[in-house]
Amino acid sequence: MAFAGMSTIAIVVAAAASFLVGALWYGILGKCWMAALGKTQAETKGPDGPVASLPFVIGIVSQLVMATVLAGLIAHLGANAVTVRSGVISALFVWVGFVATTLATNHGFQGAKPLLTLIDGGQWLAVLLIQGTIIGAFGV
Amino acid sequence: MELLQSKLLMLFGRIPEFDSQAVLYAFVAGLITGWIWYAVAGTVWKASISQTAGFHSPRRYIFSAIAQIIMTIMLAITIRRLGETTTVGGFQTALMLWFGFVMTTTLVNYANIGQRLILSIVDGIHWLLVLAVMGIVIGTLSTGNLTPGAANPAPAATTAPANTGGTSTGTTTTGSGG
Repeated sequence: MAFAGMSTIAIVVAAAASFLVGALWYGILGKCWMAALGKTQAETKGPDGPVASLPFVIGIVSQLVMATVLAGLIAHLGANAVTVRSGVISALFVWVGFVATTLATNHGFQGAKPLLTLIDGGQWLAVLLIQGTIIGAFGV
Repeated sequence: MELLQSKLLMLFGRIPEFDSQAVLYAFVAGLITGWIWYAVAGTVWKASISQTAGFHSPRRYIFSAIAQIIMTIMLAITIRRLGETTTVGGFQTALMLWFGFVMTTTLVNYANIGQRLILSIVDGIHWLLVLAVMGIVIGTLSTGNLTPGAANPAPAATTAPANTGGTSTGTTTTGSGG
C-alpha cells in the first residue's frame, strides 16, 4: 500500500514504534526530566486545566504527521533512496537542522536547564532515527 | 561561508553542496524576520512563559544565531537535494519542514510541560515565518546558480545497488537526508 511513493503501512508502524520509544525514553529518564524541568507533576498539567490525555493525543497525532512528512521527504529523494541508510541519514539531518536547532533556541530563551534540552532533544533523535529506519526498511 | 564549507569538508570528508551566498542572505533575512516577529509578539510571549530571567543574555543570542545558521545550511541542502530551487519550491520545502518537524515537536514539548497554547502559537509562527523567508530567499537565489540537472542528478548518478540495505556509497546519497 503506497501513497505518492510512501508506504502507508510503514508510516503507521514508524509512528507507533516511535511513540513507544518516546514513552520508554521518558519512562527511564522521567525523574531526571522532572528535576530538569523544575516543576511538580501537578504543575505540568498546565494552567488551562488538568487534561491528562491531551499530551498523549498531541503526541500520537504529531508523530504520525512527522512520520508522514519524513516518508515523503525520503520518497522525494528517489525510489532508490528509500533504504535504511538513507532513512537514518535523512532522520539525522532533519534532527540536526530543524528539531535540535528550534528546540535549543526555544529552551534557551525560556531559561530552561540544558539537561531538559538534552533529554527532550535525545528523545526526538531516537524518535526520528526509529522512524527513518522503519520507513527505509519498508521501502516504497 | 567558503571557509565554513572547507572546514566541514575537512571534518567529514565530503558534504552535500549548498549555495553559500544564498545561505548568507537567507540567514540574515531569517534573523531580521525573527526580530520583527518578537518585536510584535514579544509582550504576549513574555506573558506566556513562567521564567523571565536572562532574556537579553548575549550568550543566548549567540547560541540562537549559531542554531539558525545550522538550520539555514540544512534548509539549503534540503532544497538543493530535492531539486526545489525556485521561489515556490523553496517556500514549499520550508513549509513542509515546519509542519512536519518544527510545529510537531514544539507542540509536543510544550504540551508535555503544561505550557499555554499561546506559547506554541507564538513560537510556532516565529519558526514558520523564519523558515518561509529563508526558503524563499534560498529558492530564489539558487535558481541561477545551478547547472541543469545538478539539483536533481540523473537517476544513473544516484542509483544505489539494489537490495544493499542502503549501503550505497555514491556521493549523491551521502548526506542526502535533509
